[in-house]
Amino acid sequence: MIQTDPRPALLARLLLGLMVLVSLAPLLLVVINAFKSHADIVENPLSLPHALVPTNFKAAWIGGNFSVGVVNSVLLTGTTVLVAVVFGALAAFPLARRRIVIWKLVTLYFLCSVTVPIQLFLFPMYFLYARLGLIGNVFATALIIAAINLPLSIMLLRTYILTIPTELDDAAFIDGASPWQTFRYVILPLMKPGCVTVAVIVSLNTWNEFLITSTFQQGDAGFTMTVGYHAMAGAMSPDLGIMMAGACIVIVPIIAFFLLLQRLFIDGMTAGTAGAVKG
Amino acid sequence: MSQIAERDRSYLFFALPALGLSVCVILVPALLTVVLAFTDWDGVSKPVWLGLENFRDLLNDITFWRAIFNNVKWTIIFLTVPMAIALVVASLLLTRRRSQSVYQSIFLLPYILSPIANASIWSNMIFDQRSGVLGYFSRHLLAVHDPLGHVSTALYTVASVDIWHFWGYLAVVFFAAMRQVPTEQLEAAYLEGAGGWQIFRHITLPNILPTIALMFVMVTIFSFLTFDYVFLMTGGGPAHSTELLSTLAYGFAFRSFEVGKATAVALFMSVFGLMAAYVYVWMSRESLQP
Amino acid sequence: MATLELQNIEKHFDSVQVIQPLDLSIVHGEFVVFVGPSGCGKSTLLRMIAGLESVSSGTISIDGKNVTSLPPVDRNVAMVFQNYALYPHMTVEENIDFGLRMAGMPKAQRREKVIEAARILKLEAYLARKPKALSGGQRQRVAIGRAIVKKPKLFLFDEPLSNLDAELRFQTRLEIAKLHQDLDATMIFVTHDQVEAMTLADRIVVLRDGRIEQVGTPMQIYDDPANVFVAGFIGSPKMNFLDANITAVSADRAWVKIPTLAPGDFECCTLRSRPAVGTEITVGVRSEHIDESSAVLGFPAQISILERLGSVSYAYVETSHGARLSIERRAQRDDQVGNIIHLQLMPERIFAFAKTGERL
Repeated sequence: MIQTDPRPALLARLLLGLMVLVSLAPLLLVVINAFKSHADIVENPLSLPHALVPTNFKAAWIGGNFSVGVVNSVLLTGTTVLVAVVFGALAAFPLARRRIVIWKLVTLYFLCSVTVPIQLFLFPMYFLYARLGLIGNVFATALIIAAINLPLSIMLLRTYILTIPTELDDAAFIDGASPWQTFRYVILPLMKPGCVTVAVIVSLNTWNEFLITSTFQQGDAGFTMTVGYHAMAGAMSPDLGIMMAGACIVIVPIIAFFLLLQRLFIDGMTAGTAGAVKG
Repeated sequence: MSQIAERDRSYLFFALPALGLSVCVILVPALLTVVLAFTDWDGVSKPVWLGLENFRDLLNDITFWRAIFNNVKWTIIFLTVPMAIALVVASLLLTRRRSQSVYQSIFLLPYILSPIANASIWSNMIFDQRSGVLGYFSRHLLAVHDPLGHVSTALYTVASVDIWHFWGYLAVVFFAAMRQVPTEQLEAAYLEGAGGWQIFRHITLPNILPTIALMFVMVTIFSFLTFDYVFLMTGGGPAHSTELLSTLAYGFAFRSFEVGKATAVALFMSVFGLMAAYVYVWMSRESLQP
Repeated sequence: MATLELQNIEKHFDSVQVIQPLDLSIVHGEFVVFVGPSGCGKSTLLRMIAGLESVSSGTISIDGKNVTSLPPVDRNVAMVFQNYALYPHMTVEENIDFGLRMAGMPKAQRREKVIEAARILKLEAYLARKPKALSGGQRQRVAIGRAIVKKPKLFLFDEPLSNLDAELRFQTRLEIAKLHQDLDATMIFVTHDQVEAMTLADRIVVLRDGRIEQVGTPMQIYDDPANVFVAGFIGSPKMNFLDANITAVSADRAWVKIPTLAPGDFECCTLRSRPAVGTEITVGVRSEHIDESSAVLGFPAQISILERLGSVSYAYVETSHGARLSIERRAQRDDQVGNIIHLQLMPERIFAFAKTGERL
């Protein structure tokens, strides 16, 4: 490894330390203030709490309707991931393996659909769903979010399939396997790590998604955790302690999920960019 | 010859679910949206054909130009500040062998959190004049005005929060790209007497240029679509100083029920996005080859 | 085992001609090797026979049946790939059994056949292992096992030894030769290595740029090359080529002048035709066909590089007129760099080639 003299190294540590502080400080603020009463916070937002009492959390849980929210968030995320991964894996297969022009056009379509602003299809979809009475239906909303995540899923999975040698397809072909059998018995088992990565990324995107979720999941029964928190934050702006407790409830699961699966997150985030550009 | 064509026919079924969903949810509504842009519609009653009137109204609407101007400002901010921070931090990370993944995870935390949570934390916990950190500072140290409430600072404040949220992602992407620079090149340069900065400038930077370019395009596309943080923190105010095309469209659709105007704005957003998309597709053309 | 007929087969990708129109017949039980430099089309031709690549025009017949538009499974062929192409997530048993499973054979029957194939290849101990737990040689045997279990009419090998180290390559070569004898099967083997071609083949097909340059037994190719390319491709070290012209021609022989070698003429009695006097030609002679001679009868040359391999040495010599030759030396232990030695050429081992490459 190339040696650097100590002074730049110290500077590097300082700068990095600063960025760590910047990244974490707001989050720390949330945590310490979630345990304080509103009055305490107003007096000094930077002080540590007297006691780690869960009163704010209880109020936040009820105020944000999180018991409903958790269920809806899980259902929404689960359904979206399922659709995005299954549909994506299936579509990625011919896109990775076949050569005729039509597949290039399909790839082009998916690449372009990444750039379409949600607003461009949001409004007709909303009014259509309203007519069909699907507003607030978690599964219906999941379809929309899945459609938005499909290009990402397909591109990532396609890149993944490209790493599987075509010789395996040849061998399967010689063994008499149909395209479906080749996919099911040879390609899909080898794609599992890619599917897991995509599932993780899509989960994150869906859990945090705001515009579509808030537009389509209106009505208390349809609230996801994020929408529920948003409603509560608007209504409960007087009490900062409860709001911060609510924020904690919303972000802790994600952070836990992330810390457990860091490697997958980072692989998924960089696979579509640094890796793909290298070719 | 026909043998191969027949096989491709069966492959079509593989793509059908994804294509079907995408066409139904995105393509068809998008086409409808394009049509709606030429009508007056409140979402309930029958749409009325207006021709180009919506577009004329928009072009005469000063808020519309404000929004475009703000979007351009936003794009410029995002193409410079977070990119620079990310590049610097990524290159610093290269020297911290053992703690790299810890740093990466910490820097990614703001990125993985929901925009609602982030916006709420910053708006209420930090910027709030009464109960937030800034309020505390104002009372005890230096009177600082509410950055979100002032026309001159609102946009930059929201942008800062989004930068806080976003730069970690760029840093991770750049870091991954930097690590892929072949060590032989770095060693060869080192043997020829190049110092740290020179190695970075002449070896690392050219090698990661494709990634930087790709991020450039991505940031451009997404900065024209940006919605969440602005909507949640200022809603487009104060006095339209943070109004972006996306919030403008949202307002037209769900506040004044002028869906035609909303879709017209959305069309403008797509034009910018499409231009950037053209560049994006051109750059990804290798990924189009099988 | 089966007969294979290729009639007027050609292949092009858009406007690029990859295989020129060619014909080939292979009989029951033959071991045929396709050999040639990279890009000559040998793998493409093999894949067309397998059914992995389509044919632009022409017909492929196996045992008299036209299989040109049939998928591989209906042609009853099996293929062993260069990189083994084993399914990494399946055990050895599942790998070998996959094709039978796709054909719908019941489990008990499949198991029987797999065990039989495993026995032939001494793989019984490894049936439950996954490919990553096997050595290169074992993996290759599993690939072969997957092929033989289907009892195909035709075995196709696509450079199966290229990924193995020298020792393993040698052993596996012997195993494949033995397999051919035991199974009495028709096999087509693709390689770029002319040693593998010479040692394994009943007949060799030499390919270049999508064309068949020559088809023949190894000794035919060695003793009677059809053109400069085949002559130079087969045999190691490469044949020596020198510019020359014909000074005299008679019924069954000719005399050639090789200016860079020595003044005076050399006799050549391998002619197939009667070229005209004065024709500019290329003369070819192998290093093992240049003998020691006396100062009176032979021509002088100086040793510039000497490679000793133990039983044989290769001397790279230069004549005073500018020729550079490689010579095989068997008993001359006192060779030294710088020595002047005297050499002669065997008339029945000199080949004459036209400037365009064909054998004269």
